[in-house]
Amino acid sequence: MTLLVTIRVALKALGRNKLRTALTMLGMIIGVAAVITMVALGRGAQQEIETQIQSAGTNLIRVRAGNFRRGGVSMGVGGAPTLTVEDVEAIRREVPGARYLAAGVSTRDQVIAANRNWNTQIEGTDVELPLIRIWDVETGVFFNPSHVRSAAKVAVLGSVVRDNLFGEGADPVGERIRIRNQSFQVLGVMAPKGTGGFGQDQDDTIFVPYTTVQKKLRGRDGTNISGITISADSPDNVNPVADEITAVLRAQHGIPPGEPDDFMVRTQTDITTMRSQMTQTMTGLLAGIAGVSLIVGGIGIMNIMLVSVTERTREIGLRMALGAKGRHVLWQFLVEAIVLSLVGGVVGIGLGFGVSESLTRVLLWPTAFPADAVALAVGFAAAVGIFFGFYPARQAARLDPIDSLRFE
Amino acid sequence: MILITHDHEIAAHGNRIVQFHDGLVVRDETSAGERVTGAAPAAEVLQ
Amino acid sequence: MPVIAVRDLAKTYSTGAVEVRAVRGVNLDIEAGEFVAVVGPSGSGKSTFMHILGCLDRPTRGSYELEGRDVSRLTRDQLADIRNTKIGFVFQGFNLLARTSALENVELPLLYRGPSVRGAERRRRALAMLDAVGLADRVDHMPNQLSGGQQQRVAIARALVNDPAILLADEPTGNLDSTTSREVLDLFRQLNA
Repeated sequence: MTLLVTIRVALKALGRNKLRTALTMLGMIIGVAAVITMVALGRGAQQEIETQIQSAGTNLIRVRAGNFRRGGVSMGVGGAPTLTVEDVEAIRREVPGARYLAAGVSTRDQVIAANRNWNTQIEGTDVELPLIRIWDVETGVFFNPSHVRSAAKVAVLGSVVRDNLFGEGADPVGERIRIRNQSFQVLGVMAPKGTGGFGQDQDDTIFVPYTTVQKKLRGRDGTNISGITISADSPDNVNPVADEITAVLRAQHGIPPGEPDDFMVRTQTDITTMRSQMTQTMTGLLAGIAGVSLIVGGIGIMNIMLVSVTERTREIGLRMALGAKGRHVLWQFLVEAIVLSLVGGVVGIGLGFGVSESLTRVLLWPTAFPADAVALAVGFAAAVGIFFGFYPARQAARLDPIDSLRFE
Repeated sequence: MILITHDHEIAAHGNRIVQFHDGLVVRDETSAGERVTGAAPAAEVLQ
Repeated sequence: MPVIAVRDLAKTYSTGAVEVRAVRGVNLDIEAGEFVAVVGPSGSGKSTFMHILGCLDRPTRGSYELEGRDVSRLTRDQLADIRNTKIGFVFQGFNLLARTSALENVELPLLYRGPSVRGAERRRRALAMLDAVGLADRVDHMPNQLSGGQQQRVAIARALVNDPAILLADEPTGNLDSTTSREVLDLFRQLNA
């Protein structure tokens, strides 16, 4: 008996009890669909992080005032007045690998334009920020060094702020907005950038000279800044540059050896690696849980196959009386189990694909169709079929034709 | 053609009847009327 | 040469501590064309004897030659081949596959033949057999759409489709009324001729 005939016999046997076949497949379908969906979600998150690394610039180094790892009283990141403009100058002078630098002071406030207002992040920064973040101005211009020197009341809007204050796609260059009862001139609008490394919307922000935040918005004079954004001259140079910055800042702040830093230096890779690991762990965990349901599906198949062998004892006896050998019967039941798990697997892939697509469409969760996971799921489904189908099939093949024929 | 039955009426359709009892053949006759016991060839008994 | 030559055939079952001597030394020759009825009450050993004749079981003693070949010491797989090509079975309960057409039921033994039989050839032979038992117009019927007598005819067609040396019928009329029984027995007689 050829394999083709065996498959046909198995398919006919499955077709004779469609409801049971469908129910048996259900376990497999759900298991495979769960694995596909989970992996698709994980991959989506992973891909998004990779895009963010690229969009943020791999050379990025951030310095924050304060250090939450410091013992004693918690200073809160950015809360301690430990970074100054002099620190920026010192880095610029002594760390040649730090190509672009921008001092940063941020605040949050209500922004008003004509009759609309919007609460947003106001990021005080320096002229090199677009170069550091690899972020173009879409319309208009970014502010220039003389704006920074004079603490000019000028602003460059993120695209979300523009959409909310002036309407989507409007050109607000030259318009005026009010922050804390002071009138600012809009110089330009940044190109849309999307969600940042920790889920915040990077386009929901306004850029103004850091000096303006210090002098006009914070109501507190001085040279303190909350952070420095730096870009190293090459991606390979990020870690040495970060170390040099640490050394320079410790010297600037007169921190004796052995004492902790009063600032934090983080590279973009630190942040993304951390998040990437988090996502990988989550994906692994979810896929693991989904994998368990695959095994449960396999056990379901074995269960039904065992019931089926018992139920069809007479059929097996008859086939043997008519000349079927042990291996014919073994193959028939094995092929039945494999068909159950493979068809269940394929339907499961379709379902998993559908679920991940709807998650993307309805909940806007990023997903990526995992081609290798699909191959893995099909392979695993077949393996489950063989593994859990073999025992019942062997039971069937070992039946004695006389006893089987007498079986009621 | 071998017909197995417990029913003598059905068995009568055969042109040779072999009767079993307690694991042995106790009667073996053809419809022509020869009668033998055991499994000895019918011809010997007819002599 | 007889089709069946049985010498000193015995079968002993050991069920736990108890030994059951189901067949205790049988000698029997059956010639081609004979229509043999094996009778006996239950427990007489006739069923065990039939299982051995049908190559479903092996004797513990003695020899069984089928068409001159000793089949009493063959392996399970070899016996399966003998059953497939040399023996046709007809059972009391018909034993047709449910939800499977008469044609496919008759084709079944052809699926297990050593050199595989092509689909068209299987169909041709099965149709010829169904025609021989008078069911040419019922080939696509499912067993539950056929009467008891018709079902047994399908089973007979199935038993004969591989052109066996012997046809073994185990209480073939046990599930049939007397009129239908007569028809089936007449069919046997006619096929035997």
